[in-house]
Parts: sequence; C-alpha cells; structure tokens
Amino acid sequence: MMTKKITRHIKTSGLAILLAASLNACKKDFLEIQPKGKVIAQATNDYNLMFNNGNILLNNMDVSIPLGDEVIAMDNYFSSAALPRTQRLFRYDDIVYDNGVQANEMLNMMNTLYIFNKIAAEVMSSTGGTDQQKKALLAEAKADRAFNNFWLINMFGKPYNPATAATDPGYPIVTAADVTETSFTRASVQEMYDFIVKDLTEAIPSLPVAISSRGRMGKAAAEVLLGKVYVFMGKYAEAKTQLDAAVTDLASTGSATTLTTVALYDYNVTLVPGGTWGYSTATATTFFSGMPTQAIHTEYICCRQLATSAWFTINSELVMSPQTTALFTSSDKRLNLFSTKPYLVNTAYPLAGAMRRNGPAGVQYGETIPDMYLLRAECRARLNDLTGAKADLEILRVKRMSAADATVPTTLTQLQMIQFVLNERLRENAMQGMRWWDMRRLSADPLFASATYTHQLYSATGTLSATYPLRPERLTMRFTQSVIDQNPGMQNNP
Amino acid sequence: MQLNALRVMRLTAFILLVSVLHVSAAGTSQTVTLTAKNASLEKVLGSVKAQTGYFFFYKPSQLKEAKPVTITAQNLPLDAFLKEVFHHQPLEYSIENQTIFIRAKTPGTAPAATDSLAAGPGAIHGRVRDSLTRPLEGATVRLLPGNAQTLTDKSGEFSIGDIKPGRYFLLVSFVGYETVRVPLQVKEGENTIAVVGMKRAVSSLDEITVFNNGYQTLSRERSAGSFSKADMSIVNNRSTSMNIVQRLDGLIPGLVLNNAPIASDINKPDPLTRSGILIRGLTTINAARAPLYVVDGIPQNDVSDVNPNDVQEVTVLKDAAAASIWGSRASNGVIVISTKKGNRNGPLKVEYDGFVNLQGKPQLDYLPFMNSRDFIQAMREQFADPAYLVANTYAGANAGFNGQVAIAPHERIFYNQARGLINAATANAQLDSLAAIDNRQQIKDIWYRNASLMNHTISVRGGTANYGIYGSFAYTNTLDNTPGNKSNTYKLNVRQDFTVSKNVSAYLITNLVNYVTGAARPAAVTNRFLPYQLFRDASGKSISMPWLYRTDSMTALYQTKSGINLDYNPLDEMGYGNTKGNNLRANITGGVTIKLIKGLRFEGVYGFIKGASKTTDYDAQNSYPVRNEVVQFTVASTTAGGLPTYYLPTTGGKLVTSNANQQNWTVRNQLVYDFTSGDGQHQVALLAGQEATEEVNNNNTSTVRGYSPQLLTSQPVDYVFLGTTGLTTPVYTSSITSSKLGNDAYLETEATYRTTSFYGNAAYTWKGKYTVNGSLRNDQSNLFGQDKSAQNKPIWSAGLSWQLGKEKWMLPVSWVSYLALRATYGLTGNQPRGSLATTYDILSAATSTSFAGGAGFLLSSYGNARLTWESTLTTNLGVDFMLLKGRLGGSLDYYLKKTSNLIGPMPANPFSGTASVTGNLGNMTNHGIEARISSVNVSGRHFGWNATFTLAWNKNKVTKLYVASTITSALTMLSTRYVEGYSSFAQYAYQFIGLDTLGDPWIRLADKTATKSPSAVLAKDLVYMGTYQPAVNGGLSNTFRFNNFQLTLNMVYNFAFMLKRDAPGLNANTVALAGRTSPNPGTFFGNMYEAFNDRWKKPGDEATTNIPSYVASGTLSTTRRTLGYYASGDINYFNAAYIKMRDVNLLYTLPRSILARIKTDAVTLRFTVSNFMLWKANKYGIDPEFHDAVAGTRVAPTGQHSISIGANIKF
Repeated sequence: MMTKKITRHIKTSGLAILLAASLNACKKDFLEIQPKGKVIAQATNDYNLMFNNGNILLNNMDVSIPLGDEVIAMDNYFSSAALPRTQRLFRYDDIVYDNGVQANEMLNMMNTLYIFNKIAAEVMSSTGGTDQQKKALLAEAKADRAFNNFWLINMFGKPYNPATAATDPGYPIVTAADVTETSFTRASVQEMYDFIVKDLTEAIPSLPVAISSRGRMGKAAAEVLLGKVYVFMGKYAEAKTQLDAAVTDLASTGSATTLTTVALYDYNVTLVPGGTWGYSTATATTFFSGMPTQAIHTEYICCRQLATSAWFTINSELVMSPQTTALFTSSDKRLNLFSTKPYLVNTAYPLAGAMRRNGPAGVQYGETIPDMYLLRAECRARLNDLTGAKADLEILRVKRMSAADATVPTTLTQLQMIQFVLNERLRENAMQGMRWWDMRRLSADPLFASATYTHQLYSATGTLSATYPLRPERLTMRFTQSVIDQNPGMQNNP
Repeated sequence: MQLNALRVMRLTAFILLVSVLHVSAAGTSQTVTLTAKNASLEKVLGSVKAQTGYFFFYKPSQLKEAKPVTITAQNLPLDAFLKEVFHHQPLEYSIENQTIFIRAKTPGTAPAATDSLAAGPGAIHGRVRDSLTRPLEGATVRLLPGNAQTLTDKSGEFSIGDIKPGRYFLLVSFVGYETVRVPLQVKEGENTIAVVGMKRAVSSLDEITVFNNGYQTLSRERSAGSFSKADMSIVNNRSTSMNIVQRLDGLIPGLVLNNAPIASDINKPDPLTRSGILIRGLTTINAARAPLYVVDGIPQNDVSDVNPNDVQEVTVLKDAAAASIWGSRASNGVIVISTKKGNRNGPLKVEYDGFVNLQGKPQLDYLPFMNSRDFIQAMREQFADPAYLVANTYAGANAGFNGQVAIAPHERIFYNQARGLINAATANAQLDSLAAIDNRQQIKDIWYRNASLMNHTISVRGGTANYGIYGSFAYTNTLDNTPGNKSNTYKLNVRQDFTVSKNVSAYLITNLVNYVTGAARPAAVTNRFLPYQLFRDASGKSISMPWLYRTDSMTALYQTKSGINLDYNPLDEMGYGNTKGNNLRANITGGVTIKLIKGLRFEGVYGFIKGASKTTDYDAQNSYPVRNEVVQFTVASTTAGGLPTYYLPTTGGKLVTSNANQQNWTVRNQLVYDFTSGDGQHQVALLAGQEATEEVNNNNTSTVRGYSPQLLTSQPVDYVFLGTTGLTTPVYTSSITSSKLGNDAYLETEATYRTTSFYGNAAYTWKGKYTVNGSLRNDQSNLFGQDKSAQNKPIWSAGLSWQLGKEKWMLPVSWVSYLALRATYGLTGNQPRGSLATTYDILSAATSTSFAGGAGFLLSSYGNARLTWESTLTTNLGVDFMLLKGRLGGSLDYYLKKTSNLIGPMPANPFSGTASVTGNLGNMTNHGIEARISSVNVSGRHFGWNATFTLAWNKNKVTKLYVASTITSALTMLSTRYVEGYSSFAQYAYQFIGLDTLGDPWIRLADKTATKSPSAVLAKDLVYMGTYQPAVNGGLSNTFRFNNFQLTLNMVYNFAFMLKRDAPGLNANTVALAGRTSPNPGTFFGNMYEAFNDRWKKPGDEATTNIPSYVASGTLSTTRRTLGYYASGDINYFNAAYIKMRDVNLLYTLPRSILARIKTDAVTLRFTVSNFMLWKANKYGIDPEFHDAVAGTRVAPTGQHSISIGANIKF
C-alpha cells in the first residue's frame, strides 16, 4: 500500500518535472535568440556601422584604366595578358565579356548601392538614435548612392549632352534594397543626373562637416562630388559654388586623428630617393609601395580605392604614351611613379618615352584634394577667372615639382588655361583611369567635341603594329549578355 | 574472492541452469532456459523466478507431493515451460499479474494422456518452437553421438526411439535460426522430453523481425516503411576501421560510401562537393548531404564517438516514413544506432575484443613520376631548345615576390652554363652526378611510416532482476603514415537499465570520449619532388635546402639585412614545432518509460552532449615560418653596420591556441498507445510527442608571439601600427606591396541553434495482414533572419502494407513462406538554413582599422523573402519475401524522389544589388531500385554457405535549374557540375581529334569543323561524359562455415561512373607542357610524369602519340594552342567501374572442449585482409577510390592489402 503510494508520488512528480521541461521548450521566446556576431539592423547605430564596410572603401573599379588615351600597349606583353578583358577594352571592342561572365565594375557598384538603399529606406524608422543622427545617416546614404549612380551612368549611359540627355537611354534608378526584384527599366541620362543632383542637394545640408574617418562621406566630400557632377553636366558656375564651399569646409573636417587629417603631400619631400616614403630607384624593375595606405592617405577627402591593380605591379602590357610623358617637366616627382622598364626586366621598353606605372598598387577614385583644386581650376578657367585658375593649379603643382617649374605661365589664353588644367589632370592621374571620364565629358563639350582618339599597339621591337580608333558608340559600355537575358525587353547599347 | 564468486556462478550455471533474460521487443512472454535432471520442483521454480522475475505463490506443504523434474529447455516461453514441468505433477498452476499460483490438481482437470508423444522405453520426444512459441516445421534434429536423425512435423514435434541409455546431445538446426545443442540423458524405460526454442540467427535471412526507428520499435509486419538492417556479424568482424558507418560498406542497399578523395571525408561532408555518404542519391545541392545519425534516440552530427563494439544494431531508414519521423534533418536518410544493454539476472559476462590492423606505407610508386636519370635527360632536352633560355631567362627566374625565388639545383647548373660561369663539360659532369642520385628510398623511409590501427575493447554485462548494466572501455591507437603524428582515443561507455517499479523503468547511458592527438612539422614530400635531392647525406646528417625558398645570394643578402638566419633544413625543421590536441566529449543520454494505463505509456528521452577541445600549435623561434615572419617585419639599418629594427619579437616562438566548446541537449517527451483487441483482429499503435533541441558551438583562437614554452610568457606586438600603416620597406614584404599584420590576437565565434518539433504517427493493422501507417511532423527553429511563415511547413507520410503471404489462398503455395507488399508516399524537406539563406538582410560584425572605433558591419546575407522550403516528394514501393522454406529471402524496393525548390545560389537580377542570392534554384529527381537477396546455399552439419547480395541503382537528374544566362563559355562548362537535363556531378570534355605537325591538340566543334584555336570553343562544342558519382553499387558477401572455421568474403562494387585521367598537360601535378617546370618556392614539387617522354617531339610523332609537344615559352603556348583540348579531351575520360574485395575474414571459434578447460565461454580469433582490387574497367592502373574526380589527379593509395588480426573472448 505504502509502496503504491510512493510509486504514484514518484510517477506524478516525475511527470511534472518532465512536463515542465518540455513546456519550457514550448515557450515562445525559446526560438527568439539573438545570435552572436550577427545582426539584423534595427538600432540607428547599426545603420551607422553599416558604412564602416571595407567593401565600400576598397573595390575593383579598374575598367577605365585601359580605355584612356594616355595608354598604349606593348605587344609582347599585351597578347599574353592573362584575361581577354584587357585586350578587348584596349581595342575598344564592342563585347568585353563572354556570355555568362559578369561585369565586376557594375556588380561592385550595385553591391554597395544595395547597402546605401537599405540605409536610406530604413534608417529613419530605426531605434535609439536622435532625429538629427538619423537624418545625417540618411544624408550620407544619399550622397554615397549618388557617388555610385554617377559611376554607373558614366559607364552605361551616353556622355551628358543637354540636348539629347532626356532621350538618351541611361541606367535604372534603383532605390529599393530587394534582391527578389526582377523588373527594371532604364531611366534616361537626364533622369539619372537629376536623381544624382537631387540626392546630393538633399544630403549636403544634413551631412556633418567633421568626419570620423575618411572612409565616410562628409559634407566637403559631397560638395566636391556635386561640383564634379555639375562639371560633367557642363554647369561650371553651379560647380564652382559647390567647390568653393568644399574648400571652406575642408578646413573643418577634423585633424584630430590619422583617420581624419586632410592635407596635400609634398612629393618633393616624400617621393624622392631617401624621402619619407622610402622611395628608391631600385623599384624600376619592380614597383613602389611606400605610399600611405587608403585609410591614412591625407589627400583623400572621401576614400574609395581600387584595391590592387596588376597593371601597376606585375603586368607590363599597358604603358604611358610618349606624348603623355612629354607633358611632364623633369622636376615633376610624379614621374617617380613610372619606370622605363617592364616588370622584372632590366632593359627599357623598346619605345622611347613609354613608361610603366610602377606604383602605388591601388588607384584612388574617391574624392581627393588634388581633384577638388583641379576641378575648381577648370571651373574658374571656364568662367574666365584665369588668375583664380592659376592659383588653384599652383596650390597643387608646388607640392609635385620644383618651385620654379610649379609656376603656371601668366600668358595663357582662356582656352590654353582650360587645356593646361586638363593636362594637369592627366599628369596627376595618368594611367589611373581618370582620363577616360574626361574624354567622355569632353566629347559632349563643344570646345573639344572634334577630338578623336586612337589606341596604339607597339610591337616587341617598338614599331607601331596596330591602331584601334575609338568609335563614338564605344564611349558607352554595353551591358553584359546575362544582364540583357535577365531583363527581357531592355535595350542594350549599340 | 571475486574469482570464487565467479566460479560459483559458473558452476551453478553449468549444473543447474543457464539463464538468459530474453526481453523480446514486442514485450511478449519471458523465456526460460534450463537443463535439469531429477531436480526438485522447488529448485526448478527458484530458477524460473530468478530468470523471469515472476513470483510463485504456494504452500510449502504442497510441494512435498511433487515429483522430481527432468527437462531440457532452451529459450522456451514461460508458459510452455510451465506446462511441461507441471505435465506429470499432481499440481496445476495459473498466472496472474506476474505471479504464478500453484495449487493441487482438482479431479477431472488432469491433462489428457500424452498419447501423441507416447513411445517405448528409451525414447526422446520433443517440440521445436520459435521465439513466439510457434511450432517450427521441418527442423532437423540429430542425436549425437550416433546417426539418429529426424525432422519435426507440422506441429513442430518429433520423436526418436530405441535409444540406448546414456548421455547425448540433441543438435537442432533450422534455416535462418541458430543451431541449438541440447545435452540430455536417456534412461532405460523412460521418456525424455525435450522442448527446444530456436532463436533467429543474427545473420538470418529476414533479420528484420522488428525494426527500431529510434523512436519506437515495431514488428516488421506492422510498418510500411523502407529500411534495412546491417548484418552485425560482418560489421563486428570488420576490424579495419573504428567508424561504425565505414564498417557498413556494401551491406545496406542504397547506402553509398564513396571513398574517393573528393568525397571521402565521411564525417564532415562539404556541402558543395562532397558526397562521401549518400543514401539514395543526391537530393540537395547546397544543404547538408549526409544522413542524420541517431544514437540511442539522440540525433547527432557525428558518429565517431561511438565504439563499434558497443553497437547492438544499425538500421538505415530510407524513405519518407523516416523523414516524417525525424523531421527535416532526415530527408537524406537516417542511420539509427542502438547500443548494447546489460543482461538482467544474468551472470556477469566479460568480453574482450581487440585487433591490430597493419596498413603499411602509401604506394608512392603509384604516382608515375620520373626517376633521376629520366628527369635530368628530360631537362637536358628542355634546355637544349634555344627558345628555352629566351622565354625563361635567368633574370626572370631570379626575381619574385616576397623575396622568394626557387631555382632548383639542376636549373642552377643550366643557368650557370648559359651565363658562362661554368663550361659545358663541368655542367655535364654536375648533371651526371645528379642523375645518379635517387632519393625515393629516403622519401619513403624518412617521410612515411607504416600505418596501423589498434583497438582494445573490454566490456562487462550483467544485472539483477531490476537492474542491468553494460560497460565498456576502449583504447584506440591510430598511427597514420606521417611520422610524428599521434592519435589515441579512450572511450568509456556505460549503459544502465533500471526497473524502478512495475510501471516505471529508466536507463542512463554515459559515454565519455577522450581524443589525444599530436603532430610534428613534417614536410609534405611525395615522388613529385625532384628525384635527385637527398634529405640525408652519407654520414646521416640532414641536408639543408634553402634554395627551396630563394637563391643563395638572396639568402645571404636577407640574412645580412635582417641579422636572422634564413637556412631551411626540412628534417631539422620537423622538430621545431608541434601541435597538440586534447578533446573530451561527454555524451549522456537518459530515458524513462512510465506505464500510465493499460496500453498507454509515457516515454522521455533526454540527451546532453558536452565537448571541450583544445589545440595548441607551437612553432619555435628557430622554425622557418617564425624566422620568415620576423624578417618580413624587420627593417634593415640604413647605416652600414647598424642594427636592423625588429617589429616582431626575435626570441620565443609563435603559439596558436584554439578552443572549441560544444554543448547540446535534446529533450523528447512522447505518449505511446498500443492496443490489441482480444481476438487479435485489431492492432493499433499511436505515438505523439514533442522534442526540443539546442546546439551551442563556441570557438576561440588566440595567437601570441615571442612565446616561451618554458616560462609560459609571450611578448607584445603593435597590432595598431602593423595593421594600419604596416611596413612598406621591410627586408621583404609579406604581401605584394607591403608587410601588414592583421589582428590575430583573439578571434571568437559562437553559434546557437535551437529547434522545437511536434510529431505523431499512427499504425493500424487489421487481421495481422493489412496495415495503414501515417505520420506528421512540424519543425521550427531559431533560424536567424527567417520569417516565421517560412517555417510552418509540416512534413508527412502515409503508408500501406499487405501481408500477402498470410492470405488463405497463398497458404497452399508452399514454396512461399513470407510475402509482403508495402508502399509509402510522403513529403519531406530541407529547411532553408545556414547563414546564407535568410528572409532578412543579415549583417556580420567586422573589424577594420580604417574606421573610427575599428568596428563595422558587412552584409553577410541578402534577405530573400521568396525563399521557401526545399521539398521532396518520395514514393516507395517494396516487396519482402522468403521462399523455399527460408532458403532464399530478400527485399526489393523502387523509389521515386522528386525534389523541388532546391536551395542554392540562384542568379539574381544584377540591378537588384547582387548577381547571386541563395534562393530556390530548381528541381531534381532521383529514382532507383534497391535489392537485397540472401540465400542459404548449403546448410550441412559440418559445412554451411550463406550469401547476401545487395544492389542499388540510382538515376539522378537535374530537371530544372534557373540560371542567369545559358552557359556558353567552354571553360565555365568544364567546371559546371549541375546542368539542367543531366545528372548531378556532370562532366564535359572536348572532342579530341589528334595532334598536328607542331604537336598541338586539335578538337572537333559541334559544327563538325576542326580547330586548335584557343578562343574558338563554346560550351556547345563540349560533349557530356557522364557523372563521377557511381550510379550502380552494392556488395556481395559470402560466408562459409566449416566446423569451427568461418570464412567471410565481402566484395563491393561500383559501376556506371566516369572519371577524368591525370593526363600530361592537365596541370602542374602531372606535368606542365609549357614554360618553366620548376617548383614554386617552398614546395616539394618539380618532378614530372614519365609520360612526358612520350610527348610529341618531332613532326611525324603525331601518328604515334596524343601527348602534345613541350613548348619552352609559356606565352607562345597559350597563344598558339590550349593544352586542355587534349588533357580535358574525351579520350582522357574513362569508365571508372571496379570491384574490390573489401575484406576477407577468417574466423576460428575454439571448440567447447577447450573452452571448458580454459574456463571461457567463447573465443573467436579473426584474421582479415582488406582491399584487393578484383577488377577494374580502366587500363591506366588507376584505383578510382584514390582519384580526385574534380582535379583529375591521383592520390597515393593507403590501407590497401592491409592485414588485421583480432580476437574476441567472452568469459
């Protein structure tokens, strides 16, 4: 009897314990656990930290490098280039990518655009931040989005021409972060530029002047960008207003840390043998890697960089043309970034003046101080403020060459001054892909529209072996076949 | 003392009874095994009580009238036993509630005279029954000694008369049952009664009389599901692996173990390429492919903790019925493992099992590389071409990244000659001396050792009426082929079963496993290394070879700049570092069963797994990797004679400590209802339950430098400076452009995974012939970033089974003894899981010194709101049969699995932000046939022969695949494994025609034109070459018994798959047919395949060879031709079919006469030889088990022709 009671007791209590254990597992919050190291963005600070993304900072945007007219190719290296992409780009071929191959320059931009669109769409309803913080992050997302869209329209839309922009097919305006979206239509070039300008003008008032790191888009950077967009639209007065504001704001971006200090480097000190960057002529057959890395490079206002280009380290196929080399004065320290010798070869290229860029491995394509001054110099020249243009040019030139050579002649006409600025852009950015964007905008500029461009291939003995003229339709890249396949009805560029 | 007790027990057992508590799974009656001669009834009842736990209720005076009892019973059900015992007694009995009441026989109830058994004096009468007390007709009964022999009749009875008094043995045998040997004594004028119970043999034909799905045990007749059990007698005797799944090879139809290198890591299948264990083909591309393992009711990811000696049985569940029980984790099939239990009321049994498996060294000669003479000759031919030195200049060879440049000794001679440093005669003499050296013996002796696997397991079984215990301790020592590696495993496993009360029972399994591993720093040397470079000189001194990393002049320069020695000596290096691992795992499983009301019981299963693993990697300061890293972070002095600046510690080594902690638990509560109507017409089994699991994995790794193992101290490193600014001008850089040191001081990851599930299943059987099964389950988990609605997808199954053989109209068909048809249909699925499949965007934390605060987020997974379950509809039709009185039996299954919404990387619209997102990318079907046929070919007194044949055929097809655009690039197509309309693991090849007069390969395109142009080929020009996953496979086991010897031959076969050959020119593994063929810095490569000599050398050779010419300029070669046209050409794909003798086991069981003398119950000695290739389709000498299907390269075979010796001793 007693035993029975005890047994029953054990039975009941045992059952109760087991049921309790199982009920615990049935609780609703049992499955609601926050995994460590992973987050679904909710707090305002989550959105803030989404900008701290190495993929925004460093990228693969090298498509324009082989396209510039300052580039020539040397045959013995060119034909053995590992990927057909280099040859096709250089030859201005219609089709650069085989079927099934994606264009990385488009994907890179779309990848980060997704992040900016996500922040723009969600940050205002995030939790824990002040309204001002949210607005600043929204503004930053819009400014970053404008940066990406500016690249995209310049790759896939025709150069901005006010007369035809409204009908020229551009690029889809994407504002939603949704990978299941399948329907996209190309906006016109005008619509895209309007959208870029709108994003930037809305963003600038809310953006902070002082930045936390140069990887983040602050007010000065957005102003430089808007100035640049206006220059590309041929609106030099509007551009100058933005660039003036940027020069002013630059003084207050913050100099407290190595991540925020902004200043021009004096190449006469840094980029000479025995200089602070450890430059040595021994790099003639290899490459120079002593320039400060992106995060601490003080000439960056907003850092966006091509991570490493094989063209400036181990490849020898693309070199600077003798005509471009001739634009440098001998005291120009920027020449120290070039070598007459192919990689790991002790004899010079067979063509006099052909120079291989041998460093730094990365390419700056974000907003920089030199670009800010060069853009303003061009605006001033365009607006016939030649003294102002000369002053802006000399701010940069004095940091790049001997003081004597740095002086810009006072005798230049307006057109000559504009040309001088364009040549200075070339000297500053040669072989870095910047020239291509200038070639595009100049094609729509009445002053330079008549210019034609031809790429030249030299044989192993230094004789001209082939030429590839740039046809107007190739100022615009074609979408890859898979993009067209996935967007039925979308018109590809011719 | 203990020995004495043991002896007493043994004596009791011998004289009076041998008792085995036999708990049949269906919970039917207890059985009794007893041999008694003129024993008192009281004594007999006592032993019955001890064996069954039943109590007797009687007045002592009643037994005074009782007659002495003489009986021989083997596994006889209690009721039948009692009937025999009380047959001639003046007493009768009745059983109520585990109590046996005895009273005096009332007049008139005396049993009818046993006329049917009546016979003359000196006779034996008997009955033969199976474990369910059904009479066995046709059993052979022999009387030993003598020739008397008879068969049992329809009611299982037999009689042998005219027997001289004396001691005899009855030998009763029946196909499919264990032969029983019953000692008895025949007395003059007396009838001796023998009742013999027969047990199914373990390896019997229809071994599945009951099956265990991990949740419940059902009789075979009452389930419609498709499952197979492994023949444990083969599994137990396979002493070549301590992995239970590896021991199942060839025994289960539909279970494919692919030992090929690409698929062979059976415990950790890589989701993308591995297919090491597949049940019924591939049903997923990106989700896990391995089956679910269930050990004693607890789902586990890994079975390496299980000691195969502890395994009682293995059941493989294959169809939808399985998955709907175990949920979404089971759609790849389930392997259910249950471990051994203790004996109730039995004497303490001790068992030892041990083996040593000797595997020898890997077959290095299998890789067809050149010897020194041929190699130097080939190099002479290369350098003799004037174009060689133009294309491969000394300057080019002498420059490289990170200060690393390898110029091999033979190259140095050629370059020295070319640079005019030595004359041709000197060069020739030096080359001749290299050609005379052969390092292969040294490679074999120094870098390899004989591998072996040794295991000792000692186990104990015992128990009382209310308690049973099984315990085992195992020690496993694994010696692999690499010197310095250590691996010891200690496993302790204890299972205890408690009967708490009449209605409550419980069990507790405690399994502790300790893995202790170690490794030195051996170099990875094979015959692919330059064949002339010795490792030890004649005096036994180890040879330095700094040239492997850089030329002597550069070594000298860097040593001067850094002040650090940069010598490299591979043999000395071996002792400059070590890895030590210690992994402790505890698997604790407990369970309770409570009988609530008649037929209804509650069952709980509770599992807890705790694992802690620590690994340390230590590299001393004098080790090359540490010296090398220090130099990368050293800046030379700018003044002559000044000291270099070191940014990393120059004393002490580098220590990396990794900790992996795991904590899992499972809680399962279920209610089970079993009902059988009084007339047995209706049988119902219902089960419903809830399960919750949690799995937490935490890993952390820390790295320190300047570590002193003696003082246990380390030195600080400036991660901020070295990570942000880094060094741009160190002695040599660590990356292309600079030396930067990422913050590796501490890394930690943690993942928690929880599930909660509800499930139920029901089975109804009518008249014992018609069964309906159904099951339903819903799983929910904490899949992060998942929309709740995506989780509510119940999976289910329904099944029918028909015991055709029991129909009346089948009874006259006497050659069919069992026939059943079954069918199941159900839906199973894979939940979108893993960090890549989410409905919301997932951010993962990242650190970067480029941003203020150093912290940020990366977008690690794009949210895909349209993501849905990967679901598989499975149909299974099966038939089980037993023919010719049990001589031939088996089963046949057909299945069709249609998988839709395969989860995988799916092309997204590039405008959306990404080119690829985890989504539902297509559909796939599998259908196939599985058969298992067992036969008893000879069943004689001295000789027996059984055979089992398994066959599985699987046809897999990707029926729909969403891709961004059709693949048009031939190169992309060559590496694509999933293509719509083709089987998974598809392979494609060029249509090779032959070589031209330059020795360049030509191919035919789809439009029938021929070309050698490198850019002319598109995907459509390739031809399909089949799949590299075997579509047909299985095994054939033959067991021969001759008296005390048993010989088992287990064959496995794989058919219907294709592999790519390691053709010259395929890659640097075989030989690069262009440019420099020297090793990369720091690698022990450089040799070439012998087939290099058979290459095209001069015009006209194209008539006799297909191997392209060697072209000195790599650039010229790639612009002129594509070597892949030959190497990946159709002629280099081969039929990979093979048949292997997996193992041959010879068993010898010691005869009883000897056992009695050495006081043991059983001694079995084993001898095994394993892995003999019996037949292979290819003519290249390639063993498909040692071929990397994707890379197309060979791996030196290991473990072939291995020998094992082992013993099993039972006390």
